[in-house]
Amino acid sequence: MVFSSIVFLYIFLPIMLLIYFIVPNKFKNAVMILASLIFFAWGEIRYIFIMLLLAIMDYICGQKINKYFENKNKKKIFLFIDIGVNLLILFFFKYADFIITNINHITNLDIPLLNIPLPIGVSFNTFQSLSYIIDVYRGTVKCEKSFYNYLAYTTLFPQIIAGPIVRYETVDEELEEKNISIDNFTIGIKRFIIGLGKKVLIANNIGVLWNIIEMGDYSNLTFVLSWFGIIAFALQIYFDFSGYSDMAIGLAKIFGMDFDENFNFPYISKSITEFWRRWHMTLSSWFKDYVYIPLGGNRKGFIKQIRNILIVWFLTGAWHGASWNFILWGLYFGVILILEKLFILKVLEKTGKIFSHIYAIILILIGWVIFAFEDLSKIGTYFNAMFNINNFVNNETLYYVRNYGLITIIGILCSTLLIKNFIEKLNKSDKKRYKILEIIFYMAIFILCTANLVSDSFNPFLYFRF
Amino acid sequence: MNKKGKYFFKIFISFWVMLSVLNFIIPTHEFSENENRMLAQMPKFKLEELINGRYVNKLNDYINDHFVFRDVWLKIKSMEEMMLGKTENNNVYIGKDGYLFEKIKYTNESEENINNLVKTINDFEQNTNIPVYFLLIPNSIYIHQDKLPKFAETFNQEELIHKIYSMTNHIKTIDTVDILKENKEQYLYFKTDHHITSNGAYLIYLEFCKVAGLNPITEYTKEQVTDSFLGSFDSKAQMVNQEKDEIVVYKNSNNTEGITAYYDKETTNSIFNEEFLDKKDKYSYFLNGNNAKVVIKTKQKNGKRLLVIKDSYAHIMSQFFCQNYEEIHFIDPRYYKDSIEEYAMQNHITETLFLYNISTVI
Repeated sequence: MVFSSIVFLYIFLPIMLLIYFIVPNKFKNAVMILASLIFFAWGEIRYIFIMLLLAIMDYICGQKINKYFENKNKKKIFLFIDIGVNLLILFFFKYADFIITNINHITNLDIPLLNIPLPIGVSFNTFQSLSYIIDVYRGTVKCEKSFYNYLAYTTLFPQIIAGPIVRYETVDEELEEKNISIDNFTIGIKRFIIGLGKKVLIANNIGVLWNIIEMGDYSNLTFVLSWFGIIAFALQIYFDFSGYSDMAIGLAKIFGMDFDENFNFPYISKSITEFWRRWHMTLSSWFKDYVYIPLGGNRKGFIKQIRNILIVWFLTGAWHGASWNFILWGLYFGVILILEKLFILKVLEKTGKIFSHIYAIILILIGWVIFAFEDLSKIGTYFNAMFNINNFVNNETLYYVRNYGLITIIGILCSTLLIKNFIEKLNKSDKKRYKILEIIFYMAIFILCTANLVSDSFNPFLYFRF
Repeated sequence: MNKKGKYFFKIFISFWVMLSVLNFIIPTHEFSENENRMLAQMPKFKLEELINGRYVNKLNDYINDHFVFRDVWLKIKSMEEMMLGKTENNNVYIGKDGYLFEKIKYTNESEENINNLVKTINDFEQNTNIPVYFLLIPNSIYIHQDKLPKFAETFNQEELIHKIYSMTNHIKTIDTVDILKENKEQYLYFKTDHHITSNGAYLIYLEFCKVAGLNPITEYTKEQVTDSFLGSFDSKAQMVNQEKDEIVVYKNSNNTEGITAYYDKETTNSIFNEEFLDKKDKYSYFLNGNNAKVVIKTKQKNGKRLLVIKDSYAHIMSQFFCQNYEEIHFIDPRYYKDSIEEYAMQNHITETLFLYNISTVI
């Protein structure tokens, strides 16, 4: 199930919340688990059993590591078992066919593909499990004593399909005792509506344009449309992805839990280094804590640091999908980050804000071209259009500019702090007219989203590769 | 939280709970008058479909189609598109002077469809030896392309029609593009629907008579039967304040008297059905809407029996075919699954007309 659907908004969520708030505290996790299983089964029923088995294994390994905490060898065995099995499952579903295709390509063999569909959310799920077991091993969190609570953590439906990646330490206390109140409910529902609006009103509406361009014939793409198109894609993926995170964070708040933030206005960045501090923050910090630092980070000399950065960005790319373009996309940013560390950041300090901003945006957009096309030759064709001023504009382009110009401007404005300041002003002010304006603002978004969902407009799910 | 903050909570919860509850208790319809289509049905549970995800997809469609106040939500969506400055909604261009046009695209599949159609027609002529006419009607989006929204373009249907005609053997083709273009200031196409009007149909009838060697009948009383028609384009675009279409009929004794009409489910004495004028789907006034087969017997006694293999553009033409034929047999190959060639032989058809609009053949 996805949040942006009538089923979720008007059937699943009201019923689930009603039951959740009625039952006594000790049953709330049970309601959460059951709801998560139904939520997940709605479209992804096959993976449920694997998810449950993995949860049992994680739980047992956590217990064992705790038991043998003083015995380094024994506790290492359980760590490796758990990490091994989790990664094996991830590899099997996500990367097996990709690896087979490449082996076939290199060796001219004809190993048949497995053609197993990737279960939605498997990457998020695996990364959460790994963070739990590694933290227990390190002793930074206590192992979960109750399987019931651990199951609630690992199946937690708000984040299961599109993040944020919730670490066990973030929610361990709330698994036991939830902060339920009308205040939290109100904060949560507002956050949820903002996320829903980002996804349904902005991402979906702009996504139509990108969808047309993606399906079309790139060989005749004009200069203007190629830039307009990739800006549309950049806005679509940001509002879609951060919208999902907002919805997850809002839902968690309603349930009385606090998730980590995942996006912080990435497109206002003035360097790529800053961009990655603002984009998909829970993923970046996961790689930093569980890969980069264990590899030695920046403490073992410059050469090793470069090696570590490239490993992390290779993995970041591959995490987004089993295809060369994602790996290329990851390495592209890895190289830019190294160059920024070496000298670009110092240069940018001198050139001023506006230049830094343009620099970052252009590199981000080029990145999205690599991200958008699995077929590497299409990336080339698209870049050709982006740098060919001779084929500048045509009627088709003008038609799209005319039809998608306004939503793009709205999207750009909402990517800046303007919208954040507006929402905060509404929230903090005690003046009556601001309060009325606030109610109108949220209700209008909710009503418009319902209208879009009922009319069955373009509503894609973008994370089936993650 | 202060007291004012709770107003939002109360308003939101009331709204949300009310809609969720109403959605459960208000009974639903199987058919949407407004959109003129059957709504999705409650899927039957199959374990296999649950596992491959299809069951859930069908259930999602069902829930969306039957959501409470569906028509209101569609209007809100249409207003949203207008406010975003869009010149289209749900694949329909919002043109000038109240004209709507559905987007149609010529694709690789179109080529194949056209080849198949031409082959069917050529084979029909060869196998039956009955004289065959072929009549393609361009769509309003081409004839009225000057009314498209700014910068919107469409493909050249005139070229396409000539190309298709050139692929036929021993078939008498009827050119309709020139006459429609020359008279495009007239009310030839409905603004809110994909069909031609009676005016357009009359011009096409005159062209048909030239090729078929018929004496066109030109005496009619024009009668407006409705002025509140909102057709298929409007059903899709769900416009607010859309200018409505009128339906005019060219009546004389040939098409109103001495008629027997055999439809799929009933037999009447008229090619017009007034009942549809009170419904959304007013175009079905002509020839009772979509039937697999309709046979019309007129008061002419000239032994001429015309078989029309067609899409719904032929329905509005029926008022004119009654002028010159004793029997007219309409067959819609989308619904009629037996052999049409055999049908033609058994019913002693004297002439056959293939009549389609371009959006059907591509």
